[in-house]
Amino acid sequence: MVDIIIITELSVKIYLHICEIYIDLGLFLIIFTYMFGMPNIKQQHQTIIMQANLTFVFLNERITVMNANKSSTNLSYPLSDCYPGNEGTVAEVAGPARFAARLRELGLLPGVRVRLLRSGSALVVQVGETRLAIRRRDAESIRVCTDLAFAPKPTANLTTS
Amino acid sequence: MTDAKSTRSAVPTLALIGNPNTGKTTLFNALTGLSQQVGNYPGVTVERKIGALQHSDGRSINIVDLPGTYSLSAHSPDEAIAVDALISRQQDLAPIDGVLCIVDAANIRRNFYLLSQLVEAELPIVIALNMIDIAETRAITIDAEKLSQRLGLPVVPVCAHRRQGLDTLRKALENLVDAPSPALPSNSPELPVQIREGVEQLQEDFTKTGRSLSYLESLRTLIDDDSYLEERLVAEAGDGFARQLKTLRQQIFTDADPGEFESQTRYTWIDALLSDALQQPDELHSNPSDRIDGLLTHRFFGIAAFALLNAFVFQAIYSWSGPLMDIIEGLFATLGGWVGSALPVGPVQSLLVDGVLAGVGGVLIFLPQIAILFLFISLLEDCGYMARAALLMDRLLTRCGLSGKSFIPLLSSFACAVPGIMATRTIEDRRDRLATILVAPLMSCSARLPVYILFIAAFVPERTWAGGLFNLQGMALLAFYALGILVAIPMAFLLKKTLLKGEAPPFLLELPSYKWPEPRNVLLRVYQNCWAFVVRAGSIILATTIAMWSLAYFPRDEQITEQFERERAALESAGQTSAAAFNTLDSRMAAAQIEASYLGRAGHLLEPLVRPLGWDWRIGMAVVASFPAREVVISALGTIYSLGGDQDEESEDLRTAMRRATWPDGRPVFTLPVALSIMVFFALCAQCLSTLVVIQRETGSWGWSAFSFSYMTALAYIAALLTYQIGTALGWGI
Repeated sequence: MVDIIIITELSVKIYLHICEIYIDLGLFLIIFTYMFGMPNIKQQHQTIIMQANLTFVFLNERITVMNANKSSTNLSYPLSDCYPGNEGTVAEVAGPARFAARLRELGLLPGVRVRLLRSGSALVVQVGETRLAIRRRDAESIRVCTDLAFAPKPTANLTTS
Repeated sequence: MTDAKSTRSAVPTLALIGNPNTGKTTLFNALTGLSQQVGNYPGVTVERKIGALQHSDGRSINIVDLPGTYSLSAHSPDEAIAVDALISRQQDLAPIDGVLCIVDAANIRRNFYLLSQLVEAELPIVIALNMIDIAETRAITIDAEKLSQRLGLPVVPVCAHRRQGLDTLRKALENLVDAPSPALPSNSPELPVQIREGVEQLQEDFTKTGRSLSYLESLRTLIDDDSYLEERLVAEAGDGFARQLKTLRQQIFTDADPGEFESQTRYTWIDALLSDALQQPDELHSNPSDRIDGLLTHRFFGIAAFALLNAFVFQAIYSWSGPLMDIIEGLFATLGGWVGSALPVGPVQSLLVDGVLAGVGGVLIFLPQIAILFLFISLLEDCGYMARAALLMDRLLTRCGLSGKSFIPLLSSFACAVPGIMATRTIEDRRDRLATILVAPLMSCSARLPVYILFIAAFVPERTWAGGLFNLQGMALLAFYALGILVAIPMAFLLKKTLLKGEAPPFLLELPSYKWPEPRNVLLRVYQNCWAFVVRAGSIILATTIAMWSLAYFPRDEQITEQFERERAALESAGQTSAAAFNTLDSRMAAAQIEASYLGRAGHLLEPLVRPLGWDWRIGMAVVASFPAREVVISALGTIYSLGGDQDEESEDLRTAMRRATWPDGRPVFTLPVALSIMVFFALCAQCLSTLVVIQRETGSWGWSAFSFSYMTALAYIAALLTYQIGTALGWGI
């Protein structure tokens, strides 16, 4: 049973990386087609990217939920484990006192809804109208509750409408 | 309040305060126009700016532009300045009569956090709801009337960059100033009885020192653990006060975190205040900036865009400045020729032409480069890209112990270390800030450029590869820029591992929405920076040049003059008519005079120290003379090489003079290893008085200036020594 979960998780992760690369490629193509003004191709690529992005966000949420189920009894998990597009409610802001204080001043406090916009060595998280860049290591001390929404939500952070 | 009224100065002073990226600078410029007085070196918005607002009846109102801040918790030097201004404890600043608080209408909830602290300052406030147009495009509607009633304060919707709503705002500010006792906020966050009692207790405890503590100062000290305010009050009232404060905190907050409690209280107050006064679509909706960021903060494309942008900026600095530099150079050459011919030969003419014009002119030539660099920095800053660049560079800077916040100060240091060091005020962590200040002068600033250009043009052979795409001289220039960075990385790492040891502080940066740069803001900043540069050239560089000239000119040895007069007479009587012969004689005479001057005598004493670097006494003296400013070395070399000091980096004369210079035994002084060793020395040394002064001002201690100077000089000496010795051993350029 455990093996199946691990294998599934691994294959989904590999698929996610392929998705990421595909989105990168798509972005490049969009820039390219914008530059040379090929509206038909542009339209096609946008649709493909939209679809890929939706799948991406959907799978991200699955993995996050899986991790949350695995690692702890309640469904809060570190912000650093989220994937771009994930939304959630802040459960706890820990970490160094001054850092936590600054986060709270900027509106990131328990009960507030957040969305991850970028992941990597530095994350970008949206709190209301504010976008904050936080290092991955520091984001480990911010815990969020997952939404458990099984229907994929459209995100617009990569697509052009 | 009547007391305050009677002690008011003739010109009322208002403080402009708000979160970063709310269009504060735009509003300030719109209200005060060009009537601003700026501290000598403007960084991003870290300097003190005062402007005059014209009252409709002709009087003027002073507006102080305070640094952008998210709260009054006074944890970074920037916030400390804002708090000190509000409690009228800021040096060289008149007491504040009122506050103009600017709020980003598109992000009102977070911006009101600062307001919730401001209403406790016992000052009248006017609120400007800026960027109301952007809020509208995002379908955010705000009932300003309702907010105004609830707060008991004027709330004025404005759009600073389109100059909309400014008249209403002006009227509100005039009312504030004119009212005999302006209305104070009628609504403030409800703090528990224990805190209010604690504040009073603290005020009472402090009266023993003979100074009364304002409500705001007392409250902030009570809540903010380990802040600048606490530090200062403890210094004023002694350790007993520190103990009292500690027990008071334990009594009030028992085991709760005061900060957590404060933020919950404030956001509850804000939500009540904004209920049915604010309508916005969705809590988390995307805006166009997110789509741009998908590209510009992207793992690959973001870094590629960043690299391209940097390449473009540096390319522009070199290629665009050329024609402008030629104009300035021509101007000074004409002026020098005109002054030279208008005045009789003698000390006065020599001082003006060789000292003042050559020295100051040689430096002012670099004005175009300064202007272009600041144009780009201001443009990128104003449109919001700089925060993204800091985000991308954070990973790299973390490796050498700094953070993304050090990026803007270090980038500015490529123009000049002074604004770079001042820009470190946005770094909260003291160790990080110090480490950034200490390595910032290693970035190749614009003052090193003339030195590089002069020596590269004279001693690095002109070779091109790949059809002129790569040029050895250009590569050499790039290598010297890289040298500073390459040395700064291990230096920062070492400092953070030894002297400034500590946990890497968390990195937290707001990414503002992208916007079109405001031309007025950008041009004003370029102008202010250029003016500061001109002032520097007119003061410190002028003074050094004059001092240098007098040391090289005096004392005039009569015997030498007589000896050469005899030779001249001999030449004339021998029927010699060619000008070249007389010119050689003149320069030989000047060389003999300089050997006998104060400068020459000091130089010979110095020679044993600089010999291992391959330098003769002339180079040694020029380097010592350039202690106040690196650029001085060029005019100093010019003066010393008996060509009257009329040298700049493009001058063939100084180049040929340097190539001709020989040791007493006839070997040439300047070989490739010598030129390289001089350039390496200037790449790493701390030869800049302004930088050392600004380090003292920003760290509050001459110790750090002394430390910077000694470590950089030691580094420069060793590196120059190695360059020369290795270069000679390998037989370069012989």
